[in-house]
Amino acid sequence: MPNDIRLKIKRQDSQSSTPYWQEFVLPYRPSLNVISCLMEIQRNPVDATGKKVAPVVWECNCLEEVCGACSMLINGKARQSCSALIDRLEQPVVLEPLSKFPAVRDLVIDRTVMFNNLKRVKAWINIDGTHDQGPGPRFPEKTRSWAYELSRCMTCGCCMESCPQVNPSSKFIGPTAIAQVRLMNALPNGENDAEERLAALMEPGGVAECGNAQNCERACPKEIPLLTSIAAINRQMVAKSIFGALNK
Amino acid sequence: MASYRSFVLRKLQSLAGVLPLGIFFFVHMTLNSAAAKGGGVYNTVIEVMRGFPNIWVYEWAIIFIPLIFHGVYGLVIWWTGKSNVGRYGFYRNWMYLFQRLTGIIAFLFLIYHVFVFRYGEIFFGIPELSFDWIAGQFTNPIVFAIYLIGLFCAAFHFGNGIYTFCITWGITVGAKSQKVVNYLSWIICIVFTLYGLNSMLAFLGKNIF
Repeated sequence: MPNDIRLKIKRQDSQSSTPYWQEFVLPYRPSLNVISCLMEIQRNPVDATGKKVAPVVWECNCLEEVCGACSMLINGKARQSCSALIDRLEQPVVLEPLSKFPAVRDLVIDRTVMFNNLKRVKAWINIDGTHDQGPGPRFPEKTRSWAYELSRCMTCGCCMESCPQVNPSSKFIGPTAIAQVRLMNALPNGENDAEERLAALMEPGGVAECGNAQNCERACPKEIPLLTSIAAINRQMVAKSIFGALNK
Repeated sequence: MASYRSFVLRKLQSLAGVLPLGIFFFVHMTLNSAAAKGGGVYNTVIEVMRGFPNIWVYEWAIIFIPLIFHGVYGLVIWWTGKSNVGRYGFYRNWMYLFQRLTGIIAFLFLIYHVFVFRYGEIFFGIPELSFDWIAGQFTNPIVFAIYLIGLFCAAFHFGNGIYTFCITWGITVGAKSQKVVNYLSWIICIVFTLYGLNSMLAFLGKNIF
């Protein structure tokens, strides 16, 4: 059993400052996760050389892998720090902020782009009205079983981080928004706006810019069938753009 | 009105690779296989093809224009991606990288191939294309190796291209169908490589089948 836990953290003091590395050594305790280590550092912000440093900044919320706030690169792979158990990680545990999002400070990044993407594709259901619309339509169980998987998306950013098509020289919207279009289009109430959502995905940066590297599905902590979702949206798109044009 | 230009271009880029380029690739390999019958038959095939009325229209419409578009726009697509196999070394992520690498190698090879073997008479003063001239070329191991690499890259790119085409066009949606097409893509890669290699060896009188 190891006597201590070694962490190597990529730090950045502000949005525009240069990142630097800092190492920390903590006394070993069993069953810690990355967040409990970060809390330990916060309590006693002393680096491996014994120098007092500014506490490491990170973001977290639910602590049970359903909110997506604590995503970071842990030993090079994007995942949630709450579900990353120290006992199962190689040491030193290397922590870096996600690289495909604007840096805020230390391990905190700005995921606004993902929420804007969801707005862009209208990933919601229009059911507002002043009158009672009664109970919603029944949802066939066959559809529900796969649609539920898509609804587990927590916009954590792991798919975006792993995607070679998401980078500064590309406008690719990423797998999240595409999967959510599939989900919303499958809901009985969501069909009304199905065409609009597909149209949004035909714009620059849309689904056609997927490069088929398929890391997203492997990187997704919620095991969402992202690849099938992209292919299904491609099918809807072909039906809309080609056969739709033939309807005119 | 939003711009759907990049959507249409990407879809056409994918389509061009299979139709007509993939079909032509097969036709080309088939014509090459005439070399197994010896110089007489092969030279007749060349004569027939070159003597075909308005052959240049077919060449430009079915081969060169789609090829230039597929290749040049392919470079644009390559430019917008940033491979990360170091961090995510999954099989498909490697295939993503290989698809781009083989595409570039095949494109460069085809530029050389077309200029020397199709328009060599115009650009390089090469004597009229014939079985013996090609056989002479292939006795040079460097030329033979370049052809083998170009052939393999084209075959790989076409095979894997069919796999990605099926996803891009929403043909294979589920994991199982994608897996089946993945096997198919490797079969296409191997069969086209062997088919072409056999014709290449035929020029040296060493063809297997």
